[in-house]
Amino acid sequence: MEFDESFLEKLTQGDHDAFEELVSHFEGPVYRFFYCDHRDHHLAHEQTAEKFVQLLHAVRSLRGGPEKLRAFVLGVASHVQRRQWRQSKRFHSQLPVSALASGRPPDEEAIQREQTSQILQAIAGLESPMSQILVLRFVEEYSLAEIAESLVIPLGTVKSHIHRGRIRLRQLLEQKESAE
Amino acid sequence: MTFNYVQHDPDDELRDLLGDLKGLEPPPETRQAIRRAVAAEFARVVELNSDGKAPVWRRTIAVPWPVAAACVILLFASWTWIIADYRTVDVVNVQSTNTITTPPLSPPVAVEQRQMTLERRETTTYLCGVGPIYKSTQYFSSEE
Repeated sequence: MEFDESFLEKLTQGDHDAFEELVSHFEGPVYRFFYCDHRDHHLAHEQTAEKFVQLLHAVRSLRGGPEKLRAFVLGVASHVQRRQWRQSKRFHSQLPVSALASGRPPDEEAIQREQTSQILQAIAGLESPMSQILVLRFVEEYSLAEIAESLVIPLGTVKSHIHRGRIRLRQLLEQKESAE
Repeated sequence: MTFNYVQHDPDDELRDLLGDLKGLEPPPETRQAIRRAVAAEFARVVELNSDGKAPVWRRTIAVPWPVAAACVILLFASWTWIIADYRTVDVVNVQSTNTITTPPLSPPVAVEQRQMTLERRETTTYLCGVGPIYKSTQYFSSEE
């Protein structure tokens, strides 16, 4: 979905329908952003809801064109995350079955679920903000500039995190593989 | 469980590996909770912004930026003026207290050099246990 100037104008003026549309579009990416960081469904649930409440106020200060919107939304998300940053790093809250329901046969779905779980464990094993950068880049397909803007870090740092994260993620997955 | 790595573009490799996470969607109860939270916040904002309901101290006003900038400049200018004025007065006061008026000198036609002496007498009255209670200074000038 592409956002245009008129949508942005409605959004900054506090239009309810425009904000609903924004929520529908970004609730998936924001939830994934939080969930991939700590793998705690309940915490991600709370953070996502809180983030959109904050966004409701913050969106009035949005400057720039529609191309800034993605970075802006995830920028607010990273603020929420930093504030609540591992106040309690709880790993007991399993992902609900509905979160990964894809309509596949049950055996395929189970395999996919297991594989996703292992990848999530590996990502959570990376230090911050490397894990967030990898998720934004390879799951949400953000550009390097958008990631730098969202997380308020230099572009060079983003590139180096991606390079090091790639190596580290591979090591973690190989360790897991050899352990089985 | 095996993860097959293909030695091509490392970015594509990661994209394939992490692609499964795209299917990770918030469950319906999370979606509903987000909408409930947003609706509640919308209602709160509308209530706060409606005139007459919000207390005076919680209302906000919008000031156009030229007006705000003019106010800041005026404030700055007035403070600058006050400080500059205060310093001028101070200098004048210092000058006036340190200046000793001397009688006009005789014209330079005088062959004889005269020397003027200035004598200063200071009288201070002390009260035991209190300290100085009166102080006077007198200047006497004489010519030789």
